Amino acid sequence: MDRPAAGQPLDVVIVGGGTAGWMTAAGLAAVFGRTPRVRLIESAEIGTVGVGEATLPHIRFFNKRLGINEPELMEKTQATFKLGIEFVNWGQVGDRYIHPFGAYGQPIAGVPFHNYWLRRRAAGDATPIDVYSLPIEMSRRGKFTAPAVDPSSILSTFGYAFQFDASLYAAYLRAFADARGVERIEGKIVDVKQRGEDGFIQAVRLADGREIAGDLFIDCSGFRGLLIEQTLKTGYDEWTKWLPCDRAMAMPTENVGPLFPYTRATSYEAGWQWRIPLQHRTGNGYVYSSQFISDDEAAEKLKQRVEGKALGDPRPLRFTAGRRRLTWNKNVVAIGLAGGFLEPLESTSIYLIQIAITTLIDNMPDKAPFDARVMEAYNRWIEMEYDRVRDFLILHYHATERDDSPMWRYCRTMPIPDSLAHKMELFRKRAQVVTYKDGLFLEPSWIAVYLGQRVTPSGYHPIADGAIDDAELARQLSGLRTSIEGALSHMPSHEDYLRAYCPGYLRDQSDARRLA
Amino acid sequence: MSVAPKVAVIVGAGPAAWITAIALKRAFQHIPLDVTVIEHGGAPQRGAVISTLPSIRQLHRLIGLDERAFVTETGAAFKIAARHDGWAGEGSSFIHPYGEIGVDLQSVHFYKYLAKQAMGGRAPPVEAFSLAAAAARADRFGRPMQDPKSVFGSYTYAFHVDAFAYAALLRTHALKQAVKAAAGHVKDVSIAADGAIEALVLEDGSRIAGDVFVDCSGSEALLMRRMAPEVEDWSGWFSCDRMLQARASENKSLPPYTLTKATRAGWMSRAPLQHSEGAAYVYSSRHLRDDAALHDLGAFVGGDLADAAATPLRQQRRRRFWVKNCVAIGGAALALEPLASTELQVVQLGLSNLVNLFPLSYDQSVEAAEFDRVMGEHAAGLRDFVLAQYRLSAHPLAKEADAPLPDRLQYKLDTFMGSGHILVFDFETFEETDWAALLLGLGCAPTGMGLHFRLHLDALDPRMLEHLSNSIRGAAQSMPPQREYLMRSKLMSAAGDGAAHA
Repeated sequence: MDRPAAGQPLDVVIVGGGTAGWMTAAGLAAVFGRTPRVRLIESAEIGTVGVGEATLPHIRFFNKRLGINEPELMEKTQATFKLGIEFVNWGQVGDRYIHPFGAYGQPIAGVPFHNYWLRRRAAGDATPIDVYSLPIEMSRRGKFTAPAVDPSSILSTFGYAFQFDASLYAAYLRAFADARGVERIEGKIVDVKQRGEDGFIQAVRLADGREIAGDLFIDCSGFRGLLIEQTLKTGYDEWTKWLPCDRAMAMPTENVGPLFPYTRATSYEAGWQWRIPLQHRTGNGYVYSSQFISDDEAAEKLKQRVEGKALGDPRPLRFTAGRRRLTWNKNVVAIGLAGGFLEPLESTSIYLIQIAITTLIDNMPDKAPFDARVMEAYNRWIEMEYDRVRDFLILHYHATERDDSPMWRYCRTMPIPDSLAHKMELFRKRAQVVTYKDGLFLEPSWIAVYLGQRVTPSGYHPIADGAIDDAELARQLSGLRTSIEGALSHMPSHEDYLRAYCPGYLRDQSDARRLA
Repeated sequence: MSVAPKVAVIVGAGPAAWITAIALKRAFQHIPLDVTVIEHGGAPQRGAVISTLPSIRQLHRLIGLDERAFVTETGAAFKIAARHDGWAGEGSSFIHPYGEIGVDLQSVHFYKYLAKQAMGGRAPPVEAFSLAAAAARADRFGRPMQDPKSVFGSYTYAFHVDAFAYAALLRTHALKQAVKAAAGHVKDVSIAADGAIEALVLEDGSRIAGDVFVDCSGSEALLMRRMAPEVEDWSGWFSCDRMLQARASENKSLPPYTLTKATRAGWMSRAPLQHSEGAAYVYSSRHLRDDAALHDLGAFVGGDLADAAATPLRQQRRRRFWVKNCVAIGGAALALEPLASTELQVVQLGLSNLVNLFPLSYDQSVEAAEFDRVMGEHAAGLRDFVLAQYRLSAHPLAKEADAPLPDRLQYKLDTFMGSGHILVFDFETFEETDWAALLLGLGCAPTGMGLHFRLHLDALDPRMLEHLSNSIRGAAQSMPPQREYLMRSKLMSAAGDGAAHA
């Protein structure tokens, strides 16, 4: 079990084979081929969480980098298209808005569009901002088409992601990784051997006695963090005081009605419920805070509230919102739930896995020992990504007028990070969004949630009044609506598009109908 | 006042005041905003030349200043780079080009190729792959083309301009746009019960009231020293505390770059104009007396100097840039030695953020908080770039001003040294290529690089690189010397460097 001498290629061992594990294996194999060697240990005895069935548009970059064929992927994972998330009951019970994957209108004189919408609203125009977003209108009408590349086309104003079965995605990537030389080792890890002098992981021992040695271990073992926490005791920063949900009940149902190209998140008394339409079923789950509702009650509520026939019993999940203090510690990189957990409200789980993988790829050393400066840079980057997602998620909980249950009263009045308080105040005062160069969630996302959750600006950008006169503004706004309506008028339904895009869809659905 | 401000009062007599006045006037014509400049403080020193960054072109578009008029009326000269001699050791010289380095390699930034070569001890100079650098090295100049695919579209440019002539031109331009000028000195600041400025009292007793007050009075900070006197002293990082500025005679070859030369006591610079040349010496008074500085500067320029004047340079930033209804812009906000030609950039960043955050009501606390946050980041980015040049070059003064590096700079440098990757944070003026030129120019070689990038870069076709390098050399040679370019383009100013200076 000697370590290879410096200069020899690295030996990479991935521990755990869920979404995170197989995404990592596939990513490393696609970029590096067979050097370094990549092995993945997983045990059929240990179930996977199958995080996140809904994704963000960034996943398409990952797929592209891997060279994945999109229709094939969609067919193999029962995927549907996703143009955004509909939030129901968040600002107040009965409210609904869509957080779209795309901008509202175009800036005029360098000032973001929503300022002009606010100007019109101040002048008495009650048109909702939604009608100036193509992806919102597509979602509402159940339509889909691929975006255009030509920036002058209205069809270039949106992006899309997928809603898929995460365990099928993992299986798909497993085959992908397998074909590229990743060795899968079946076995349960019973012991971890650390190097005496510095505590680096030397090898893991399996139940059958085999020892798997490596230079770099990627901990994809889920919440427990087999290596990063149980062995290395890295520590975890908890964010429960801001993100109180700590459990979920998940239960798929049969599809009812047409397949919508968006995910829905409906807030209820002690959390919120997701609805994710896939080709073959609908994913549902109630994410809740155990402080405010019992498991049994949550399961019961979920059963009552789903739309289709249940395809099983509610399955419980437990978690703690937060982030591992270091996601690269010694020779262990924690990816996925082992690295941190942020609830799936904005479909960030797979994004955070993806960003960890691509950041690791960019920093992947070709030999031991690892440079402490590179590890530090990696950790800081991942930390920044988690922190930025965190503030955006807290906004959803805090920006509410709900007063109907203890949990919402808590969230409405809880102290929030100063960085977020400042962001909200700036928007409330003058509709300005604090933007940043790196990390998730650009201006349109913040605008969608602010406006959708009653963070109503009392003013707007002072340039918006002078840049353009009333008649010209009216002309531009109606022109935008006309081009959006024009695009929608000959756009196929989401289902028709799916049928043409991934032929397997048609087959599976007719099989299902025949069986029904 | 519950409605939008209608009266802005600006204090200052230099380019910062006039630029701010014009920008505000133009941006808020619809209010309409009444803008008055009280010409006190921050007046340019006779003989001073401002070295700018390419962002001055956007600034001129913003204030509607025609570039041809600017060049011909002030006698400004173009620059496409900065050249730094003696920083990486005796006889060393590197170029910081205002343009791209290399070509788009899809999944990897070209500078990483240079970083990888540096790891192996064979880093080519940036001029092999940057047209702006190659042209600067060859003393050639031409304005870039719009075509981003052409090598002639791979760079941008900035200017050297006579500060006095520039201020005069801006003043004329401002008055034409209905900016009001008030002569006289600010004698007192009249402050309301809530701490906001009500009016400024001039020497003759007149009161100038306003809703927003902008302090463009440079290091005098006539308003801010009253509103928020606390500063963050940067002398732990920068030990130069004096600046000598003077004017030399015409530089025949009119090189299209700012030249700096490191010395034991600081650094000297040359900034050519059409008909004369700015010379400056930034130094530590502990190592050099003013008369010796003047002597050394004359020797550096190789001729007589006129209008020489040494002034104190207190490197610092104001702890707050916006307090109540008073905003600091330019030297009143931030004083940083001009090693990276950032003087006007500071003004531009301040005013674009002021326009963006222009108050909507009497209470400006949110705007002030955001302005302070954003300008603080901007200031840190500029500071880091200059500080890195001292620390990485092992400039003798770096041993004295040896306060620990700011965390963000340490992080950036560690990341580069560990992996060859350049991190660029939010609100940084200087981007990857700027940092690459600086770090590689100073001879920094990373000790490692991600396997992925190495594989990619190893696979680069050497013929492609050679072709690129040849085409850049050829393109540089095809450009004329700057003086010829100016004459051919009828951009030479008639008289001296601007009417005001004549």
